[in-house]
Amino acid sequence: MTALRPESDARPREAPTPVSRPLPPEDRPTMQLRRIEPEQPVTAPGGRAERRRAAQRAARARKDSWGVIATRAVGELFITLGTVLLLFVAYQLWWTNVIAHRQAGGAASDLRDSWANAGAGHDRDAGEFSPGQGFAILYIPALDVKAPIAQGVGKHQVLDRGMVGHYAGDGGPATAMPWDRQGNFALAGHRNTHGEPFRYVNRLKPGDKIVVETANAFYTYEMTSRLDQTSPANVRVIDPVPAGSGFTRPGRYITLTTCTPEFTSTYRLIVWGKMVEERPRSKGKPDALVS
Amino acid sequence: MYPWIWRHLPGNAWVKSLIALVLVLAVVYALFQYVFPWAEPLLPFNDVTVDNNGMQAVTP
Repeated sequence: MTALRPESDARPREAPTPVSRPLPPEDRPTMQLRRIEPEQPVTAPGGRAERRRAAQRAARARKDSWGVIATRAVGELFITLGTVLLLFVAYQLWWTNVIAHRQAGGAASDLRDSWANAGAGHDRDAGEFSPGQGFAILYIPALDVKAPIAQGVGKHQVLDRGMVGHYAGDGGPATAMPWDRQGNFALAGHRNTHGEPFRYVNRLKPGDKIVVETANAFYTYEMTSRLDQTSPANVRVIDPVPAGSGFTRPGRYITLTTCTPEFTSTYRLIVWGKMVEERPRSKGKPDALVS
Repeated sequence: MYPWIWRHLPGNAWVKSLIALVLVLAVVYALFQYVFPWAEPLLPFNDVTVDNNGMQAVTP
């Protein structure tokens, strides 16, 4: 059977291409080899030699010196370490975003549900929100950002869940709420990883709208100025009248803080804005969210 | 290590590679689910807040 097949294969190949004449002579030796092969293990001398060679190989494998074994172990260790580091990069740049987007989406829809159930009223004091509790949704239409805002800037409780954190005084400076008569509503968010809500916050231009939706109102801010980098210890940027913002008198401001340059924590990037509209929920969405 | 694991896996080459694949996936899952989230806060990335205590105490 095997003898027939190569010939039947060779015929049609030969017919359309008369140029490849030298092919059949090549086929014949391979055919013969193939036919002989199955007989080889049966014949005694080849099998014994094969077995002897295998035994030698096994003996050589068993006799690996400690140096070789140690070198191999170190090599494997480094390969493993490299793979783990690559996986960590994948985790940081990709997986944390997947998780955070899911969590932030869940938090936002939970907020919506609770607002729908609560009915109309007035926004309450900051003291009523516990750390990690979401209480508002941040929209930056120019950057296509929509993220829930939660009380506190704890990484594990808030920021790493894809949410934006409100400086609320839990171990750090406390800042005002949007509904306060005056003050600075200061927020922190991730620039990279974990949902990265503030990834492109440096692209905001003066006049771009920043909207905060709460249980009872939409607060629209307008971006006014930006501090490209400052020390992480510079807390005066979230003062009621932020230092460096150009504001001179108390008012209703918003401050966004994130890290810069990207993928590092060396400095902080600050964006300021001032409130231009307070719109009760009953009057519908502000223009910034409609267009 | 890896040759040792390979030698101790049961079955023929196909079964072995299938088990090896499952093992690799299990390790990756453990890394993503437990090890990396644990290791992340220990590394100096992604601090986004300002804090009067400086770098070290930038909110956890």
